[in-house]
Amino acid sequence: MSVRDQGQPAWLVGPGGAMAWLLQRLSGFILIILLATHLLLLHYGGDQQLVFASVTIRLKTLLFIIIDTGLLALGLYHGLNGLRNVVLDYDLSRRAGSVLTTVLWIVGIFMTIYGATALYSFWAGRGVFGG
Amino acid sequence: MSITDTKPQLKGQNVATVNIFRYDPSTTDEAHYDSWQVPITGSMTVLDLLFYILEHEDGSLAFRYACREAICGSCALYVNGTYRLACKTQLKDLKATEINISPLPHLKVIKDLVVDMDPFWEKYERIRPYLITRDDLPEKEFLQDPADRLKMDDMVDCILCGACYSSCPQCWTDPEYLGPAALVKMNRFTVDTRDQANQERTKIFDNEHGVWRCHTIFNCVEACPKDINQTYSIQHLKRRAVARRFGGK
Amino acid sequence: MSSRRHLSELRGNSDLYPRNVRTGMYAWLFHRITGLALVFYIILHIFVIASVNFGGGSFDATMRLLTSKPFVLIDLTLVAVVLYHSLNGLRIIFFDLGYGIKNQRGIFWALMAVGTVIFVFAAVASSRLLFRA
Repeated sequence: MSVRDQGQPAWLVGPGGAMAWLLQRLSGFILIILLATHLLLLHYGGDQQLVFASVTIRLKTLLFIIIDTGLLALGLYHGLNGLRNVVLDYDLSRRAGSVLTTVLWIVGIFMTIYGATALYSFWAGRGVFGG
Repeated sequence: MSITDTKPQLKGQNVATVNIFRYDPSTTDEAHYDSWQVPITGSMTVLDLLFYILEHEDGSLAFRYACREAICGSCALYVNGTYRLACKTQLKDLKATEINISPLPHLKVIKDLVVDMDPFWEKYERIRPYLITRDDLPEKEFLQDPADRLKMDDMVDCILCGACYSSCPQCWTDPEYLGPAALVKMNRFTVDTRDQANQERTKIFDNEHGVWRCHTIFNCVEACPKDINQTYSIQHLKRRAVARRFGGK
Repeated sequence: MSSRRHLSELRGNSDLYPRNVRTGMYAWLFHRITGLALVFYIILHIFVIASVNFGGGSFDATMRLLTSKPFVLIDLTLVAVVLYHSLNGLRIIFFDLGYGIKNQRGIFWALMAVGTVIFVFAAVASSRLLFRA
């Protein structure tokens, strides 16, 4: 039997993945609804949805801000958690597993903030970088 | 008297081409397939075929068998791209005149068709495949409602042949993953109303080398010669783990 | 007498070439492939859309490029990828709730049929973009 990580048997390594598993399903389900709305309204909803002017108008409406924030946060969570699972499928030590999880959280939070600067810039009045 | 003296002659009978995986670590030979023309009937089993080769063609062929009636789990093999028990698989069900016989994939080959089942047994032992009771020991036997016994019904059918373990892509990539057979057995004890170790058991399957590595790939269900639905058991364990996490028992 | 054959001659023994169809395994494989593609896409998408921060001029230029004719086909591929991943994801959620495990193959193909229908609608809608003046 392989023994790693401060003498703990390998099979007791790490916390259970119950919460992550559940959130993956919940975020996936909500993403389907949000994505369907997003695609129907923006990409099949007429020709002029994708210009800066329309974006400005949309991102001042609460509904669109909610949908887009949902897509941003949940999409990143679902995707990065999925990536985490793909890597975990290849036997990692407890330390490598924590490093992976931490790195993915950092990437996720950074991307969420970066995306939010764009989403909330119109609400605030003007683009963050002077647009 | 040579090994071929009693060999049946090929006289217009049905003949099959049989290719068998050969590997002998005591030689410097690389792994290869040996090919034979064998007289067959439809009702012969793969095990009969192996005995034919052993007795009339090559006495050095190594393979496992014991009961010949699909209960011991020794003879699981990979035949024509499917997982089969050699003793139970009749040649007519293979529907082919070329028969490829390999050892169970993704397990270390000891010799020819014999594989190292140690990783499989190790996972089996980890899940504590025995009844654990603490208190309230009855004077005689544990009484169990027939309806409760029925809940375990298909999970007790497992003959530990290793086909599901060998077929699972998660077992291929994560050598610490418990695997379908161990998890089915784990569910069998979790669901057993006589067992009193649910909390300990949950710790064993609720972790990243336990149920969470199952991605409902279903290879195990397709491979099982006893028609056990492993995915069904593993999904039950996942739901149990989540229920516990949020304050269940 | 035996004749000897090389490992590579007998394709029937590779797990990548099984004789039974193994719907579940391929469903998972494509779920994983589409998932990885979508993670890559979402990161790209966030960077592109966040370019609103750099002013309307550059944003409009980028969007004109991304809605030009060659990109319509790329968009359709994206739609197919999203449809596959979502529908198979729904199938996985059914299993997680305990439904349909015994009919996993049937459910897969039924959902793929639904996906094909939706894809056809999307393709028709996009073809109007493709053939506009």
